[in-house]
Amino acid sequence: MSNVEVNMGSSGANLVRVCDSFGHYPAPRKVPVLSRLLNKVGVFVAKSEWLSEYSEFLLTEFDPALSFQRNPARVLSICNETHDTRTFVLKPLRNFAGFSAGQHVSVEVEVNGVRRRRNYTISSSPERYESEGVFTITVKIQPEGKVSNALHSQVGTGDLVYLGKVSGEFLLRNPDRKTLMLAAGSGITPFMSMLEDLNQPTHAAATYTVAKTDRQWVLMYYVRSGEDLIFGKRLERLAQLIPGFIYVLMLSDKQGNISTTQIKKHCADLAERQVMLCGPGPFMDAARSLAEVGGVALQDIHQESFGASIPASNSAVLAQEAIKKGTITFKRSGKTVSTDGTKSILEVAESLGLNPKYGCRAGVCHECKCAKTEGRALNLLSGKVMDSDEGMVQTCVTVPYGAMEVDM
Amino acid sequence: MAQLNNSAGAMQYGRDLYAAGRQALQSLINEQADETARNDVQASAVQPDLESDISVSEKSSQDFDYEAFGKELDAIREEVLADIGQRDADYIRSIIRRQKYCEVGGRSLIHFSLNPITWAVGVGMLSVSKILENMEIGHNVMHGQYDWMNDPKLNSQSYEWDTVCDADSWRRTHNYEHHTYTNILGKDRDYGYDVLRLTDDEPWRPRHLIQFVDYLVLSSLFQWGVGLHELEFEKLKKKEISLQDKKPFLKNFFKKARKQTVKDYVVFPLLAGPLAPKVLLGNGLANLGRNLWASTIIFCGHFTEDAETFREEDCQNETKGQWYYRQIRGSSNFTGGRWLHILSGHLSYQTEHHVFPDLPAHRYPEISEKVQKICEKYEIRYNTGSFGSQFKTVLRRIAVYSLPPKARPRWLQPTVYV
Ligand code: FES
Repeated sequence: MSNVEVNMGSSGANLVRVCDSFGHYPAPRKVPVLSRLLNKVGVFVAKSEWLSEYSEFLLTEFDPALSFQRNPARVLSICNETHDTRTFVLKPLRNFAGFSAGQHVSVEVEVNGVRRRRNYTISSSPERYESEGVFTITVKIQPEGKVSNALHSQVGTGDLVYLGKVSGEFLLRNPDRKTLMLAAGSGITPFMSMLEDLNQPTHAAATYTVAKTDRQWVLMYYVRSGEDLIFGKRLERLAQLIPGFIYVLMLSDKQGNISTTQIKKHCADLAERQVMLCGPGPFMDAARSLAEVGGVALQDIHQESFGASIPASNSAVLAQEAIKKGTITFKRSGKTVSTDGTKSILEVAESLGLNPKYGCRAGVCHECKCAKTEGRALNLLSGKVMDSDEGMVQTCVTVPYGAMEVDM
Repeated sequence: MAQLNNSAGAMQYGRDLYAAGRQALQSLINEQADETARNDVQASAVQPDLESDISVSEKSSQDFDYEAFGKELDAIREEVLADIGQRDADYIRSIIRRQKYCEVGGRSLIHFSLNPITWAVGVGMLSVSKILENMEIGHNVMHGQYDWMNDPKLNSQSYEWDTVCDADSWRRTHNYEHHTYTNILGKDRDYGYDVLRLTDDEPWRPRHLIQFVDYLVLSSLFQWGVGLHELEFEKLKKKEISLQDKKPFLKNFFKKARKQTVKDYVVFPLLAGPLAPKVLLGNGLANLGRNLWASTIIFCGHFTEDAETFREEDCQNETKGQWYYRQIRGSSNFTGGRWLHILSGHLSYQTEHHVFPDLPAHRYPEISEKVQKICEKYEIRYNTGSFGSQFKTVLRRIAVYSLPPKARPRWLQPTVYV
């Protein structure tokens, strides 16, 4: 166990530690009486708009961590996993209800004046959150990813990030069943959380009589080369600690892409297993069809996609596709229509018989503004593609950019 | 920035598609209109009239290149949009901080002052806080100037401000009606608020004789006037609409008005116990100060002597360039120091605000230089002057048009600008 400290030039004077193992932190001190009292005051204050607004202001002026309207989390430490991936140890300061292994949390940072949110899979176990009050997210830099870049370059130890909803259905539901976990690249994160969870003496699986030699849970982890390997040591160690857990590292520059022979070699009984997939789109498509061909029942294939689901707009062709083949889902009325970029969202809504509010219909008054709950959109006035986390669209001058959803 | 460059192709493509779609739609509408016109003899008789009217009223329209003019203004907008970021976020947050400190400080001073001087300072601070909140924060946030920040507290559609005017009502009457139909008589209900007569195009009535008094009353109670604006009193009076039609509006109005009144005139005074009267008076004066200031700034924005008015028929089928032209000619700026601009919510740059209502207002000073150059190039009069001189022309305008043209003495004639 060595904690090597390196000074990262890119993030100023922040110390970034190289992770080697579980790196535990002291459990948070609990002050139940005081916090209950504070809660009472909080409830009273929240009832009065003026009071809550101004007390929030004064408290956050004193220390932003005291915010009770937002959901701050302190970055306790940052570890380099690979050249482009880092793990952030986050300590939620309040209002955080916990999570299940395999879920993701939305994380907000301010990038050039804009509050931006992305979902990141939690890469540590729920048990660790309960005992130490921390969890980790593991972030790989995406070429055009505003949030991942900001997390790497502008967030340092001691800074605050803001948490949003915890969600996700990618859970290890039947640990008593034989399972094949297929991960690629940073798709390892949910499995990391599940495996550390499995390692807990309190976990249901601890009661199973699984022999060391059983191949109960097999993880095949694909990375391009040794350089891209995340959590290498932790996985090796978990393989020693958890009876019945087999860890197989696949380096695709040596062993090639995923194939039936590879899977059959480690899981001869593929057809009986439940299969869990997480990784980039092409990997999951390939893995899924291999599993289907290998006889795995459809309901036994579980998958989690991560990363941008819509291709980045770096080629005009893709952009044209996105505009020509857009779809709008109207959340409240539950209608979905496809569009070709010739009609604004407002016009589409009206053609469906909806009654959205509007004013000038020319992009001046913002009366037509509506919440965009999902997907991207192209504002024709500014020419800007609005990211999935940018909340409001001027429907009279905006067309969908790929699939999108509005609150109408 | 990378995003912007990369999506440049998409942007052009999107615009082309969009334009094509619009055109198709427009021709469809025109066809339909033609059909109805053909079916309706009266309509077809009116049609040519309208056209000839436009050509008469816009004598210069042949030699004025509205399209090129509009494009140059569009270019400014795009330039600013591409540059928006941290600086703008930091600016509005720093203003909000100051406003909040001002309010907390002002209210505390009003409460705990031991002598009239500290009390007066408190009243001043509370008034300044209300002015900042209404003008530089509320008004601008509600225009969508900071929506890009994704901050739920700075969201144009959900922001609620510290005045009796309900924010939703304001968004309808101000953002849409006033900003779209700026200075078009009969359509821009902000023009004179139907209380003041500010042009000879409006028929003179005896009540206009005392419109100066009306002006003072309107100014003192400005927030109530603005709050009740959507009631459309003039239409109620003419029985064009009934009180029943305005029920939903009135409900919201009373809800908001009650909230404001309770806060300033009940809760805070009661908190002071036996000293309630001084809090009541202080809050009242702070509101009065804000009312007078807001109305003065707004009058200087559209009712100076050189601000033009337009007729409805001139503005039909207006192009973007013509819309820009109307916005510039219908507005007036005034000059002054940095804090005068901030306290006016940068409505001292009314012209820029009307051309680009959704760009962050603190950028208007830099935008103004470019707009002035364009105006020079296209020989459009750019209406500006010192705060005092502009306000004087407002007062003069109110006085001039309180009399019918024939009754005006020599020294009270409308100023002719060339
Ligand atoms: S309707 Fe006015 S901006 Fe869309």
